[in-house]
Amino acid sequence: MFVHEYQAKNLLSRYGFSFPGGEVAYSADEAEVAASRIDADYWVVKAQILAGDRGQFGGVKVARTRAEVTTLARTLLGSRLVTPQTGAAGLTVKSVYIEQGCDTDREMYLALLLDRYRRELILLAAASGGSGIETKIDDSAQPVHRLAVSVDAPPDQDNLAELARQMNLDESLASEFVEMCQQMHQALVELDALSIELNPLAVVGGTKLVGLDVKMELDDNALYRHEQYAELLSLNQESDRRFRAQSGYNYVSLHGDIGLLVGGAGLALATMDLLKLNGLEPANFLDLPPIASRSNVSDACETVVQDDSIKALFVNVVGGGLTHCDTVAEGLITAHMKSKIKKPIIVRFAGTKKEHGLTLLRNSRIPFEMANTMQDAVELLMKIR
Amino acid sequence: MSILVESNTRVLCQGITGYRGSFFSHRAIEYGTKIVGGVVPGRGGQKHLTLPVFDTVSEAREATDATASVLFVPPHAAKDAVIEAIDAGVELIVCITEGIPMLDMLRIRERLSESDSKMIGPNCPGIIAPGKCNIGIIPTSIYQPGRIGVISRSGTLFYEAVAQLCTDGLGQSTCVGIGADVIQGMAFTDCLELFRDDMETDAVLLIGEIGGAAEEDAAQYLASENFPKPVLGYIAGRHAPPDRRMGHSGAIISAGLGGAERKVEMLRDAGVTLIESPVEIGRTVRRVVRR
Repeated sequence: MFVHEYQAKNLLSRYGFSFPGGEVAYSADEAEVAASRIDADYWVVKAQILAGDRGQFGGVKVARTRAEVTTLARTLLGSRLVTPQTGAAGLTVKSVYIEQGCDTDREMYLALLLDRYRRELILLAAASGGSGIETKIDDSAQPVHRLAVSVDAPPDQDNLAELARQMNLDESLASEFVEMCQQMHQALVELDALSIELNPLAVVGGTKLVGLDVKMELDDNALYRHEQYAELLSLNQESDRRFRAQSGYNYVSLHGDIGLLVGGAGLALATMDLLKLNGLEPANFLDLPPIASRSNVSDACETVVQDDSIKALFVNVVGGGLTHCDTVAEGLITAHMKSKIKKPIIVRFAGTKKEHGLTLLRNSRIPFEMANTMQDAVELLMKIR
Repeated sequence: MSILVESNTRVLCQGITGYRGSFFSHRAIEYGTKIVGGVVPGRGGQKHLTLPVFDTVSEAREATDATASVLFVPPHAAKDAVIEAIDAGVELIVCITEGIPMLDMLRIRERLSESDSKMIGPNCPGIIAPGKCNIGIIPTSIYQPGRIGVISRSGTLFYEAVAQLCTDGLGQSTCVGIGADVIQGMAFTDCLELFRDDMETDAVLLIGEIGGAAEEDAAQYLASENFPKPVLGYIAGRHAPPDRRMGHSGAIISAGLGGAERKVEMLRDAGVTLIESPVEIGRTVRRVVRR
């Protein structure tokens, strides 16, 4: 779960990081009050959306007067912001962060994150920051220094000092930098974060390191040991994660006309591939939870058929592990009784409780079409088209 | 021989009294697996499924000579349970638990790397040497003894692939469902090394998918190794859109990494026979091994 900039700054401030003074506002009135409380020469009004590249795409504005803060907040709030990271539909701005304007001597990049490929924690640091830094990791003109660190042992002092040297920091800034890396490590471990990125990390007034923007991802699997995250979760609902949390399945909408309901992510990916190889287009990706109940299946089925563009629904289940074909059959029948699905439904069952599942479907008198293999199912789908 | 397990492998179940631990232990015993005891803190001295239950893994090891352990513990207890098994010298740990915090998995990996224990999982189907030993949640009815080694990240696609092998008359020596989480125990490469030296395995089938770098690592290993047996691969998700998480926590293509095309290309360059369609898995393996 990614959190908003203001939430990340709140969570991190108790670890000793310096950030410019700021307040979140949900309305222009709140923005006006916030500006009146923040002492500054100028202010920055920042759209709070869970995606990056806000700066270049109109989500971060500078206000020279307090009145301008209110005007800018009014414009941003409720608007849809489209950046390369939001998808074409963009994200609605529900809150803005009003922050003290801050002149910088220099801007750098510092992050601590889980490297999903090497499966270790790494500190990444670059002598100049800015957006798009992620894509420059292999760019030798702009080296990004990396240092692997352990989870439970604090990062080695000498290694951090070397990193500071590579960043061309003078002595007092270097020791501040080393301390900041240690704070970051402590924060990541205590907060169960998967990444903390300070970008840019600025040198202000020649002597101070200040995080101007923060991007932070928390581990969904660790929510149970952080009660304070329940509130963040309720504030930051993302549509597909909400689906997953409520119904236990993972649904991703695509652009085709064959609705898919598949047990297991790997089989779901393979089913999408098989459709494509046969010139068919999946309307969605859907992976039932590992232990699917009848109502999980029924909810998932209704979600898929709600998409009017689908011409048929393909149910592909290999019973085994923790979900069996008969449970899926019951879920399909329930969904059909609830919402009278008019589209053809092709069902392919294999594995545990296949026969029982098929018997339930036949006895329901609902016109399910049965296929014995994935290939048979695809042939049926091609005829419907 | 099979890899990692054999017919006399003695297995503990951590979390045996829970619903899933109980259900799958019972099924494993029916299959002929030597489940020799359970570990549930606070339940030491009791019996469950006629087996002795112990408070700790080390007591259980001492009393039963078990060398493997399967875990059906909740995510919040998983880190301590795995580390307890490592510390007690369990050789093979099969972790079925889903949803373990990432930092806990990093801690587990650090401990594994300092030990001789191997771990399959977490969030995985487990391992089966058909006719000999079944540890985990694999539906045993579709598996048949034979000479193909199978390694899969996915669960249900694993069952699909094996069902196709059986339809085409190909049994399996050992099948390992390694799971598809971001941070795991054994990877493709670790299993390939074992299959290389296994006298009962003639060919190896890899079932991979988008996300992560396990397939790329396997390709590098195979290219450097001059692997002595035919290896076949199917990679799921060649048509998945980038930057969307497709179910498995590891299944995301982003910043150009984890995409199917690179995996396919690297595996092909390493001499792997790539299977294009998920309905051609059994047929292609048969064609290659009968050649």
